[in-house]
Amino acid sequence: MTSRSEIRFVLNGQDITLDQVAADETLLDFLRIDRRLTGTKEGCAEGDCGACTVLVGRLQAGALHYEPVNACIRLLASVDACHVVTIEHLSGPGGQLHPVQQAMVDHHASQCGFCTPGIVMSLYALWMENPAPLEIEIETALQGNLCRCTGYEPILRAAQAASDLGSPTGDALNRERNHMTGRLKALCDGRRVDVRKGTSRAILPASVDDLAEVLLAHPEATIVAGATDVGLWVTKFLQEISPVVFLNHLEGLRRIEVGPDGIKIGAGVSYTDSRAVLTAGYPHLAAFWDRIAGWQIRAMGTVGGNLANGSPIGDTPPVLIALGASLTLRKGADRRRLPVEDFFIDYGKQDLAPGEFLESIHVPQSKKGTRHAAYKISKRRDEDISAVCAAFNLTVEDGTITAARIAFGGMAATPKRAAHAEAALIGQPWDEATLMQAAACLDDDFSPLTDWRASAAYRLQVSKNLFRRFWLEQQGTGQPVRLSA
Amino acid sequence: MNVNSTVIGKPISRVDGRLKTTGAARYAADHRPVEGRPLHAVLVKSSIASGRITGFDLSALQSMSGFVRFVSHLDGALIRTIKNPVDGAFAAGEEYTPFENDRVHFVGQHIGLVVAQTLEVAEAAAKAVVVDYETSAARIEFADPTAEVRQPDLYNTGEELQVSRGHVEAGLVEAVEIVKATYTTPIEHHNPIEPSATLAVWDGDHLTIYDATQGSVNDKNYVAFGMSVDPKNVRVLNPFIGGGFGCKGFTWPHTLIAAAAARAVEQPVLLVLSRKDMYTSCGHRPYTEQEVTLAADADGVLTATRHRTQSYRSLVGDHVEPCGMTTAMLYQCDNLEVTHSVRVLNRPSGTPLRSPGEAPGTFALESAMDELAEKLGMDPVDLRRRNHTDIDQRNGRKWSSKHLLECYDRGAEKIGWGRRKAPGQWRDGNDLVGLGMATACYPGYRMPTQTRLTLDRDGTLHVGVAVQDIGTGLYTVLAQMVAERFGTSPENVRVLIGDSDLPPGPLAGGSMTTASVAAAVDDGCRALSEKLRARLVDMGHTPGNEPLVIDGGALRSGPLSVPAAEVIPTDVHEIVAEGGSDDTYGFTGGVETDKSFYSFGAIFAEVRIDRDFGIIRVPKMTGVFDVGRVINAKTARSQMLGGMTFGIGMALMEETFIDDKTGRFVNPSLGEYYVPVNADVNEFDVEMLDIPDYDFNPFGARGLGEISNVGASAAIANAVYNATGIRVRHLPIRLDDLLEDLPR
Repeated sequence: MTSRSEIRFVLNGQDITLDQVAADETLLDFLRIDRRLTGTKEGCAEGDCGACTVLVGRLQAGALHYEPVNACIRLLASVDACHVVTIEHLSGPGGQLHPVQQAMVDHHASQCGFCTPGIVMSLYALWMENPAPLEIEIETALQGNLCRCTGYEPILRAAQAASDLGSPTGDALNRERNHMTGRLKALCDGRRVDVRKGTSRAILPASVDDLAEVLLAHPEATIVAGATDVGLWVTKFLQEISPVVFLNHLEGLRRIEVGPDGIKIGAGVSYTDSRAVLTAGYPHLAAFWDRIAGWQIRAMGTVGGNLANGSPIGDTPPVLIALGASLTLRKGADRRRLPVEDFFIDYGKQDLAPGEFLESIHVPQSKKGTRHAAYKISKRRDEDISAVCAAFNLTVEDGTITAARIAFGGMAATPKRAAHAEAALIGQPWDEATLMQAAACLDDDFSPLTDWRASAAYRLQVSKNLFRRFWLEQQGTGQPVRLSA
Repeated sequence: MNVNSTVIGKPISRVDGRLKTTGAARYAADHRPVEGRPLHAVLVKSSIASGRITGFDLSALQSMSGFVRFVSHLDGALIRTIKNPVDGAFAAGEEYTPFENDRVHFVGQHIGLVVAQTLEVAEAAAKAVVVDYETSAARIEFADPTAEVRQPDLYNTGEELQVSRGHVEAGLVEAVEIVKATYTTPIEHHNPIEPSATLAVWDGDHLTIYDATQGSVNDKNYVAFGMSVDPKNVRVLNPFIGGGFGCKGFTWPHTLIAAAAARAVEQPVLLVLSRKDMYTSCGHRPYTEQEVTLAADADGVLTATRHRTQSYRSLVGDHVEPCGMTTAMLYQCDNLEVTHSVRVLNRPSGTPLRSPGEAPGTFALESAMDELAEKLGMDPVDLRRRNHTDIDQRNGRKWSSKHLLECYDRGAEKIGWGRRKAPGQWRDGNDLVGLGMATACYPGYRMPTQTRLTLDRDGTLHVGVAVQDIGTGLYTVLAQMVAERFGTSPENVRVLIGDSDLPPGPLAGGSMTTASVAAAVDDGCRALSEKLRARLVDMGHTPGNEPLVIDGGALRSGPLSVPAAEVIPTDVHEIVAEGGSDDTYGFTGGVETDKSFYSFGAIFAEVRIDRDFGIIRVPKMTGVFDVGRVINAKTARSQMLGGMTFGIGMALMEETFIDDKTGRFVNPSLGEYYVPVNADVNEFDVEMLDIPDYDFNPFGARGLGEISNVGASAAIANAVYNATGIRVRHLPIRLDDLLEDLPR
């Protein structure tokens, strides 16, 4: 089948076809500069402030699903076959304010107003999914939006009040859902998309096999999943990323399969989409997962990308290492599998050959007798990178620790297991003394760095204290003893 | 003043709410010229801290399709030399003219501008400019012994920076307890969510600028001077500004550069600063080191006060962080010395950031008061009461309206001050809990302001003044003021601001806009009322002495009611009156009065500290403020919430790091400069005493934008001490400041 050299999507109500798209062109610049849809704002160009939040709807297993995304780092070519919804699409006929907008006005949730459209879009996404949210659910929805004026409280009140002003049943996106599903289906023609602008080139492979083929032909290509990291290479560092190969549109990589061996998560699965399946087996991950970045980033970013970019301070690698997860890497038709910890060779260096890509992540089923915890220590409560990230997985049988997997982020050049501490646990009685002895072994496991997030001494001390916290938590319900609000 | 007003003080929703929540409110970067497309511009900034530019290699640019022009100091006299930062007509952030010469004074200085057909090409071209430098020795480190040290006499308000009274040494001898400690505050950036932006459009020798500025009139005069055109030919439009907090207050070079480039290429130019540009283009709050000495007798009465502030300035910007101004005024003390010195460094320029001086200054002063209370074994609130005064310590004047003691009472009651325990003694599970407090204060400023009041044939009132709403709620507040004067609803008032062609008003800074427009609106309404009465008389009516009410499309006075359409002759469509006030208050050289004007307040904070991680949370803050009459309960409260949130940021997270070797800011982004997120903010309890100050203006309001940020960081630091027994004398309090020494 020949490839298609244009991208096609629906913007608000309008069909868009673009045959000139550069690999590094962002959705936000397209909206603001080309289409003059200036309701969507640019505050930071790196997915921190959320002023550029728009909804992107995509068909997933035939059903249309909308998510809030940061248009500033969303690469334009990746919205092929999607429905992009901006603030301009929200007001009702005759300019009637949407319930979310009316609630924002009533509760004085807008001061300077610059962050407001982004906040309206986040709350709109929440209201559609969950019209009567709990306070914690509102707070989770607002994690990816910064407001410098209001102190947030009025925004929370507005979110609570929105459903009193209208129900999502009658909302335009819901009313037109079937119609829009049909329009998007018509755009999914199963062809590879290969779009250019000048020398810049973006490829959306037709399938996973096609992706393998494209990467063999272009081993130099930049692989982009959620673009939450690569987007910054473009907007902050003006790096040349062409040719780009996108993967998170591929249904074949967005699948989650649960079998007797465990959970298989495709490389295109977002943090958001992986949450339910992971927390079903590992309830301790729920609170941890909600502290990864903010909603928009979790909706865009993928677990696969978090591993593949190899950051020593990524949130998911310590967790996956502790769970004993492994990866499938694929090059052409060849596949190999390796434990997650072996993937990280050194700072910025992963075990990934040119032309090879991460295809899936395998998380074993939860075993009886295991005790788990995951911690993120950061200065800012949300939207922050860990000073220390830690995950515990201990097997206790008849009062004795028979297996231990403990992994840390932020403590070394790569996400890394605490080998000495683990050794000090195995075969020992499950009690506080054992844990504190193991904690002391961290001195042999890690020599962390001092940076502006935290000092080396702090990192080491907190890591040790986490053993104590782990013990305390396990004495109660097994649920995390939450950090004070 | 109608004490039972249905308009003033009410929680009226902001009138621009619809525009803002629908995305229809247009900010500087959202505008386009009436005709044609603008060219896009990107700044080229210096990468060295000191030296001169020896040349630009532009060879890579010439082949770029869509590249239009590069402008720099090599283009000659694009911009007229500006000798003085404050030329009388305007205040600029820096006392240098962009592109004046080849000198580089700091990393991030604007040394060129690329103009291109598209933003993409402009960005690529700016990156491709190769700059050759001749580097000279740079003084970057704060402690650099070779740096020139200056001791400026006056702050930009005209207030004294070097103050001495009585004999500090004698006061120290009298004392039974002395606290002497050094406190530091970090470099901080304003980080409004909207980056600065300028769209410059020339039409012959007329220039229209859409600018993200807190001061359209100031902007107009600065640009007119730099462009050598009559200020009458320059129009600055800023109907919406996405926050400023000071960094859009004085005009900065990028606005002038955009205007100059647009003239040079004879096309409109749009320059939108990147977040990174914002860190070096429009100021920051400089780092401060403050040595505070407080001495008291056994009763806690202050016998000596000394506050020495060391900070820095750039080579081209004269901002001084005036930390000691509060100290010179606040507590009764006859022996006092306040000094300020600045080192001249190769760093970007500082500028006022929400409560300049007061915010870092009260961190030091109010922390020291807490330390003194601890030494004396006194309750910190009692110590402040003991030293309370009804006299402005700087000049012996009485305060126009001061109700600080009531703020202490209400605040203590609301936070549950009685729960407070000795340091380190309050445990709750894994947490250490503590309470702290501090005094807040901010000067009352007022500037000359003119207004235009108009009545149209529909009976709608219009008020126009060249001020701006940076998010504070001024659109709404102005509508309320006019509605109050004419006995109508704010919905019957159209507000025109954000346009320098309107009658002049001050820039949005120093919490002075509301007080300034209050006097002007009052006078404008009087003038309109007189005109309308005269017109009614001309028409043969006999309006009584009752106030003129304009409501429901008619003018009423007592039993008289005449439709507006009849009052206004068909050939004029409207009746216009101008009014205003030339008075200045609070600034040196203002109105001679026997009173001083200040707002006061008390801030209380509760903190919880996780013993295993040293993480600090602020579950509750209470602020009680004496800020004069509150015009709008909703917009005022929201200002306070925002200011207290600023205080949490200042206390616990905000900090810009500078690399002492290169002079670069290390974390110029919203990802690495931490402003508080929602989850960092918990319960705020805000109360305003709402006692009018009619000595200050006819509506009795003082300002309230800045005061809520004053004292907040000290209240939190004092609460941290109360929780842990650990005194942290620098901001922000870092993750690793507490852990080692926490009580187990």
